[in-house]
Amino acid sequence: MERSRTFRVAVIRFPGVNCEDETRRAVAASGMACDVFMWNGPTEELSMYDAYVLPGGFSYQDRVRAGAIAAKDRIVDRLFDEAASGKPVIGICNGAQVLLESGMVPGLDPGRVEMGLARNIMPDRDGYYTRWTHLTVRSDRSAATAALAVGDVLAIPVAHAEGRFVSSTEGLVDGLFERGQVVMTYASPDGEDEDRFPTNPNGSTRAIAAVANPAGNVVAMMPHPERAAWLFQLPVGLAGPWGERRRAAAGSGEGLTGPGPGALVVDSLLRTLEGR
Amino acid sequence: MARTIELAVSLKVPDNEARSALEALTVKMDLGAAVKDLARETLWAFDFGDGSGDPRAAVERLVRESNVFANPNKHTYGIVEGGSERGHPLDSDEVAILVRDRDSNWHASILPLLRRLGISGVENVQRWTRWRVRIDPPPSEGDAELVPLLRKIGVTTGRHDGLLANPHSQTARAVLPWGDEKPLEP
Repeated sequence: MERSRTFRVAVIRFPGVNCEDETRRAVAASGMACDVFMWNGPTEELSMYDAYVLPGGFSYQDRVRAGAIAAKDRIVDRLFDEAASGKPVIGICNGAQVLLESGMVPGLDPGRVEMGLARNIMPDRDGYYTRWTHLTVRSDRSAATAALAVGDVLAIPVAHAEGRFVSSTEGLVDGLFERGQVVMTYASPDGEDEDRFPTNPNGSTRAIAAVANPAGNVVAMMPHPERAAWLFQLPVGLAGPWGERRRAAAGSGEGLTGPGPGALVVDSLLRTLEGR
Repeated sequence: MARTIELAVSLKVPDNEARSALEALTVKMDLGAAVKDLARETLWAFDFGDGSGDPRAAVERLVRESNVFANPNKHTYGIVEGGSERGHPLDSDEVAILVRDRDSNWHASILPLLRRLGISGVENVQRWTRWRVRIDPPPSEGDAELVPLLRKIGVTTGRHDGLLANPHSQTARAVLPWGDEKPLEP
């Protein structure tokens, strides 16, 4: 389908984030126009954009709690309003932490904080942890999965210290699964459910990796798709089908610059915009 | 006899984290009329089992030799016996808000360090962040607005409400200057 116009995406740079440029490149590679937008910029200009991405990093140096201070910034009020109008908002890692701390996700009662991203729990270690993970798509009704099918497997790295989805509200997580708001879970390289370390790298409840609001236009995901947007970003020794594709592309410049699994997340954002 | 040794660590250089939290509370959350200052310290509680020798000396050695809990170039610390999360004494216009992760794994995290230093007998380790909040008007017994204010400072329930603890992953309670404690979870 030929698009009548180029969609515009704003990547929000809070002080301390460090993935804005990679995120912008990954979004731009899909043909969308993408700008890095400063957190203290004129918020009225945000309405010019069709979608928003909150990138990874350490907003406000993770002071108090990852995402907690950025969630109180004025720009989040504007993002809240834009999301309420149906525009997509994807938060990646630190961006996901901002979305949860501001009550945009899971958004059953929008603006109310219904979940947390707690410190990782891992056997015999503590703190920041990074590794390649495999993810199973649980729902295709979100801005991060619209170009995917339920059961598809992605290989995308995580890198965080506070990435464990939790809620103290009884039954909330079960409800998220039932309503399709859990859009990705950590899985084995073949996509099998496996809720143990290191497949589930942080002890996240029921291996949750990404959660959407009920409408699906706001998604908080801990893995970093911008670090898996091209095949050359994948490690040669990666397990599973994505590892096979990477190895098959070895030695071919054209093959290695082919889309990686993270590009499918960006394609999902584009698909969502085309469907609005 | 089982004993608990408490370690309180605070910065002797400006605390940027406390400054950021204060700015968030006073400017972004519009609590500047009530919140006047904020200080932060980290409390560790080490539970020792029976027959653990001299637990206080063990914690002193742990701090001195590990360089994990306190850096002498920028931290001060105090070690006391007991498990009452005392920390720095409160002024009459201060309250303390104690925040702890619900299911932290500190004991397992620190175990390799304890083994390396040859410190035995530690059965559990807990960690709190203790925020000392200076408020106006000063806290008084019978003030019906005090606990709601502390909840608005302490527990993140909404986009504009609460900062210091996320109730889904952390617990928070207030300690008042006259010794009363109030849970702050909704």
